[in-house]
Amino acid sequence: MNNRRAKPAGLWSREPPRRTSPKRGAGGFYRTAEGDGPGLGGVPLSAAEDAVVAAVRLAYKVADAQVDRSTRVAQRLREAGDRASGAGSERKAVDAMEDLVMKTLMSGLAWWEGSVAEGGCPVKRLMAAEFQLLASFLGSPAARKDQTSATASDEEPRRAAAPDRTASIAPPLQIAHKGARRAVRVRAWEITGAGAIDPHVVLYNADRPESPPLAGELVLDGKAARLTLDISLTTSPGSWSAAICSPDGVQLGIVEFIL
Amino acid sequence: MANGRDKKPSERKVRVAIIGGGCAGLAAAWELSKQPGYEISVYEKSWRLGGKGASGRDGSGHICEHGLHVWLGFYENAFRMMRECYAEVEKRKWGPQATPGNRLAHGSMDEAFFPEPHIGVAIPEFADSDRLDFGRRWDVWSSHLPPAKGLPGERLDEGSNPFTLVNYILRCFELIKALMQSTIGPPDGPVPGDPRPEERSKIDEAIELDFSFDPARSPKELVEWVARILRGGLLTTAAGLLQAVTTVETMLQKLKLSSNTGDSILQLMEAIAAQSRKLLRDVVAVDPKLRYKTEIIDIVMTIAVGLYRDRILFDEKGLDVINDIDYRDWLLQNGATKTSVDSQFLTGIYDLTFAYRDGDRRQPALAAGVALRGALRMFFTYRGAMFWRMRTGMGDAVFAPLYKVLKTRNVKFHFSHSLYDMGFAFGANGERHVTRLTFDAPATPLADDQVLDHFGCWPDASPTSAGRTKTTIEVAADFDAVILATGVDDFHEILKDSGDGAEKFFKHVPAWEMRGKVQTVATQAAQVWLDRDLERLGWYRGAGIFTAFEAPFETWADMTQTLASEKAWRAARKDPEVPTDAAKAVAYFCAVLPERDIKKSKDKTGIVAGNLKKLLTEKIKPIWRSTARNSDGAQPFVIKSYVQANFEGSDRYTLSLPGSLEHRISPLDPSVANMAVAGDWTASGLDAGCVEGAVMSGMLAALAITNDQPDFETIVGYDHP
Repeated sequence: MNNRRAKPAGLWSREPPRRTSPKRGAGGFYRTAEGDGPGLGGVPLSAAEDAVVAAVRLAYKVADAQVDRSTRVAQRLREAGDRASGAGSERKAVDAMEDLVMKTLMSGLAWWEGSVAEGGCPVKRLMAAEFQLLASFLGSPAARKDQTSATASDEEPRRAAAPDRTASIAPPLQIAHKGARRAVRVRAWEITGAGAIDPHVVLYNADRPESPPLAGELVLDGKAARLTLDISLTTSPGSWSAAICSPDGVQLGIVEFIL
Repeated sequence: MANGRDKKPSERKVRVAIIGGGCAGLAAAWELSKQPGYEISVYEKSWRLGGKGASGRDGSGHICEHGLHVWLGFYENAFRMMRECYAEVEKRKWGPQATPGNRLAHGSMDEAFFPEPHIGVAIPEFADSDRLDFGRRWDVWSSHLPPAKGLPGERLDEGSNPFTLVNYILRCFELIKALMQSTIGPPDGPVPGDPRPEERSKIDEAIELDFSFDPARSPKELVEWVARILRGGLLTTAAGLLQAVTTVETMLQKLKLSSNTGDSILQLMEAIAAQSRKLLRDVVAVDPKLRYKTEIIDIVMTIAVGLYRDRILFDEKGLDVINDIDYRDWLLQNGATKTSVDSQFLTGIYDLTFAYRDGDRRQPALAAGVALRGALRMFFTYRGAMFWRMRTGMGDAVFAPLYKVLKTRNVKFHFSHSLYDMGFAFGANGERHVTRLTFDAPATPLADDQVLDHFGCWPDASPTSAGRTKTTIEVAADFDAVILATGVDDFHEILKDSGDGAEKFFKHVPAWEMRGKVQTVATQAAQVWLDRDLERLGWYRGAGIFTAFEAPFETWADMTQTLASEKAWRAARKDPEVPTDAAKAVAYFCAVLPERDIKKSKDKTGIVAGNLKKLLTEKIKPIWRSTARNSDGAQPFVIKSYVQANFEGSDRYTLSLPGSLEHRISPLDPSVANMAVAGDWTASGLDAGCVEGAVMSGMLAALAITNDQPDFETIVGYDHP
């Protein structure tokens, strides 16, 4: 069991140790949180699949913990406000506290913005460089571009490359006006399922749910789609959307526009 | 003493002689006694165990301590040993209620140790103005540090393992919030000290506390309150930036970085640090109360930058690479402001570790690597609470139960055995063996029932005055292996003359010559029993550990919890009433004892008594503001006092001086084939003078002796960067 050596002289000697000093490398000491063991437990970072994975897990856990805590704080703020609803002054105190929290946050951000905006501030240059560096570590193709010199000219192709939701499998959509010809900008237009479509479309205002629904008529002819709207001068502005359904109510798509 | 001449070593148990019954020696005995194959004898020069941690009871049951002892929440190895020990104590139903012979001051770990989250640092009032009249009045910055999951010494499981990245970052958040609370809250106002239900944090409490503010407060007060909150927010933002920097560093730590990339990250960190400092200066200019926090943030920022700049966390030697420089100098080199470096927070670290060369307060010296490792372990890896206190003296709570349990494991104890000579054999092949140990020993050994008193405590004086004699034990006949677990000064005294003639030990093993390499410092301790509670003396901050006051005693703690056990001691013997039965509080003080004072007088205890008198008549007033002395100079509030000067041999405290750490001997060092060294002065992995360092070194020495596929992971923190 024990490696005891009997010396010729009969004196006991110990085995030379494998090492006589600590191995202080951080990767071998700090652990992932998983698992336990007789000693430190966990898996040494140097032996874990890779440190980035560990760091990402870490970020999730930190974020979760902060969200939980923020939720609790918010809940207590609300409860305190409810308790104080009888007396107006205390209610205001709670509101003031919420304001303060926001202002504190904003003042911090303002300071940071101000610092970065100072002429010749190295933080500005370095932040841009570090963003690019981190992005490259995380494999973002954007990192290959020069983030610090983004101009209007290279903004255009990027916008063009963005997914165009109205150009999905649905045919191009035309808007026809029966009533007031108020401007309509289509934000979403998708048909995801095949089959007959119920031409009667009912649109609802997402920004002002109390607004009465708006009726429309949708006609598809295979190559084009035409949505006829009867908009009055009193129709509420905002985002209007409707489900595109089959006659038996199965949703096949969506249309959304801004009035 | 010959008892094993007939058998070859391979056929019988290995007989291990452990010299020194302090933390290191007992930890070695503890580890070896858990395994079969070892016959252990402990030789202790005193009549009691404990070394620097020893304590005893006087004739009336008063605890007489070697110093002010608290355990830190990161003492994983020491706590594990004590948990194992108290598990045995509980199994055997030992404790204060047990029958005589089975009595101990405590019957369980929870009785013996309790958490202390409250720490404080003294701040000279008006220090932020031009009136630097230190010593006139003191304010105290104190904080209740947040509890951490788990308990020290328990198994490190997924939920409470502090040695994870997750823990380090989360703990960082928690601590900064606690600091925020301590600064945002009114400095002299109530400090929430009650245990927090569920998982509520300090910041949650802070918000709730703030709800209680008076809505009818004047507009001016309200504006000040708002301004303070906003300034706190700015500071939090600065601290958040530091956290972000640390997180980035963590993420990048294992990636292969080119030197250019590394430099750019360093520049980023320095730029952020510079901007943050600028902010902090602006904030402090309008609110001096925030200065304390500014200093902490500045120090934290500097550490983050310095750790990165010196590539410390990526180096196989970890923080050891900066052990040749003083902690304050290292901070200055990395951009800390002079104000922060001279702050009371750093002074507190030096005070708590007695880090003054020759005890001279004008010569602070603490190796930067050891200081940083200690700080990282202290703040980021504690479990339960940052500090743990004992309900009695350390001798009662730690060494008495260890002694009794070790006895059940057949460990033999030889008290009052003072080793003064060692014989060595130097083989032609370079192998060296200890061949002989010679002790100054009592003519009549201490009887078993004399070792502990009726309450299971150590007496404060030797229970026997038997004559002395010389006793020698021989290798092969009486022992096979030696663990030399004395203090460094005794180690040197024993070995300097050991060896025969020209065969002096240090000629063969010059690396073990410790004179002038690992230095020690004398310390002083005082205890006072008070006739009134501390609030009546003007101290309203409650129990805790407070440091960075001024000489002669920089550190003090309310130790009122010890009164109960002292009364129980007397009750168990049905003693008549004594004056201290009326005591309402007990306070302990400790500090370095300057060499120049020691040289001045032969009466070392008298020096400490004089210092205590000076404290109680002059210096205590700024701390306990309601004290007043009689016209004759006496202090009417003091019922009894006890002082101790620790100025020689193993009583002295081991320093971690810059440039000295590389000279420490590892307990694993194989220079002597049948011997290992142990003690807090050895290369224990922690390399600091404390219980944990001593226990770790004892465990290493045991590993060196057993060497049965040594698993260094069993020593928590040995490989800490």
